[in-house]
Amino acid sequence: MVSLDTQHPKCGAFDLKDVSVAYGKEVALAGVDLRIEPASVTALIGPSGCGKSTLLRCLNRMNDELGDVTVGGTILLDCEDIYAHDVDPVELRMRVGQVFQKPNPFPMSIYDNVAYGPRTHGVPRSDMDALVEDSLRRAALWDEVKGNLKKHAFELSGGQQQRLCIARALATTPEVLLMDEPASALDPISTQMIEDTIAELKSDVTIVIVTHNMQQAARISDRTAFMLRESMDRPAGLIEVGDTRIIFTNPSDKRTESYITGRFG
Amino acid sequence: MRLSVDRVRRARAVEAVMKVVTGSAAAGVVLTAVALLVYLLVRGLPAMNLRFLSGLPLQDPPGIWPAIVGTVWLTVGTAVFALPVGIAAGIYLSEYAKRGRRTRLIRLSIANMAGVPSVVYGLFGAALFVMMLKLGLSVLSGALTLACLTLPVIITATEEALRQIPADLRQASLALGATRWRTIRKVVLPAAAPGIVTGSILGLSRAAGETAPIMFTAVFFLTGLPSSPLDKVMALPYHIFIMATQPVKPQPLVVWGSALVLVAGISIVNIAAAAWRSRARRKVRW
Repeated sequence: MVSLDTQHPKCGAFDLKDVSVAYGKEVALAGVDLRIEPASVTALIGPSGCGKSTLLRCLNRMNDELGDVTVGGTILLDCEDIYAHDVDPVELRMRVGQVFQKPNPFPMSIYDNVAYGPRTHGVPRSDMDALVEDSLRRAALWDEVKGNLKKHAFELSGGQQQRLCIARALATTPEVLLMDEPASALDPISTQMIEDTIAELKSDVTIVIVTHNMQQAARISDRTAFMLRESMDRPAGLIEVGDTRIIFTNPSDKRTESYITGRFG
Repeated sequence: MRLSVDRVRRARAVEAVMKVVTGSAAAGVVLTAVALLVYLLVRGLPAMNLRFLSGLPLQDPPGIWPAIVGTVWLTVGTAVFALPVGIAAGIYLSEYAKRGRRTRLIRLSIANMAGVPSVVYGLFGAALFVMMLKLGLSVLSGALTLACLTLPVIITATEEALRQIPADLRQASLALGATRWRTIRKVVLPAAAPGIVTGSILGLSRAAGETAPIMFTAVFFLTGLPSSPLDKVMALPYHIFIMATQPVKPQPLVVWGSALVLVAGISIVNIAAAAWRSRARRKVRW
């Protein structure tokens, strides 16, 4: 099984210890120990229902919004317990951004979409233009929209909308960006652009990405965590985590090997 | 084999019959609406002139200006009370309420309010607002009574409109560190506004045409223009009722003229709302 990388004295971007999630009385996920290394891309892979998205939602406490969800164990963001009583989930979500599976821009202009987060957190108007431009550049959308920031976001293509959502998340300058299958609703070219964007971003933002697509995980991630729910009477768990190259070429667990060689899932 | 051919033939026959039956019902609706409108125009148009619209009831020929003004006052007053409370309650039910006994109780209350006959609201308003709270026969009492009547419509319309907004958008806003209220104010409400406005205007239109709730709370047969919300007023629906049932000499022209003015006024507001909605919706599509 997995243990925390003890050779690093300091904390990771995230440190998860014995994390479990229960929906009502049903424990969906249990016993997850995981370190997310800073300034890297960590891919969460595994078959449907293995708790990848559930785990992801623990990291910005979006599970709180679903009602009747209990998160157990400890989750540290840069050494701080994000489930401590004095932590406001609203503040946490400024530091940990999220991009969703389906592009979900707000029904407003491109500019207003990107400015939404900063305005929420009181960034002064005088800084806004620069911040919007910078965020759109980082999401590799600037060149396509720079002449027309007043355009309604719904007029963009699906791939552009998703990059707008990335820009929107980057505008609050998060330390970590969570991505829940961000390219699964997109065509191959748009997927390619999202992957390029992720590669650009990882130097200054830690990225945790859930993906169904193993080639994608192999292409873009530095570390890969494999999750699995082996039977419906037992909660899902983390099977193995490590360097992506090693996980895909020489996994230590048989179950990881059968999954990545396509024997199930 | 023979049997199944019969079955297919029968099914086809039923299909044809049902298409005619349902189509006739729909045609009947159109016919009724057109008949109503045409009859209203035929009877009411001869009354239309500036003197009728802007004159006083006791002149000869009589005018209905005070009744028009009174109806506007009452409707605006109803909106002032019913919109904030109704929209807020709709927001609570759609965005904050968790499933449970308390929410069931709220929904039951709304369903009950919607089922209470309007004349009962009139009695209730007379007892509570006119007598107990000593607001007297006034625009204020009438508007509060009409607001009670309109609330369920506005609450339901608001809740329905908010439910149309995809959960994705709320998630996106929350994930950016917005509070629930900011999410509602900046993302959910603007997107739901067309639906809320449509439903609210429909509710207020009904209120504008109600007679029973105002007859014990706000109106008087003959009175001048109101100078404050504590004055009693004349109102179009009540004026129609009085002129049709107990005139000294029958005045069908005043009755039908008033009816036409009431329907035209409500239609103009409804059409304006529909036009605004279709403009707003062209931009927002899911």
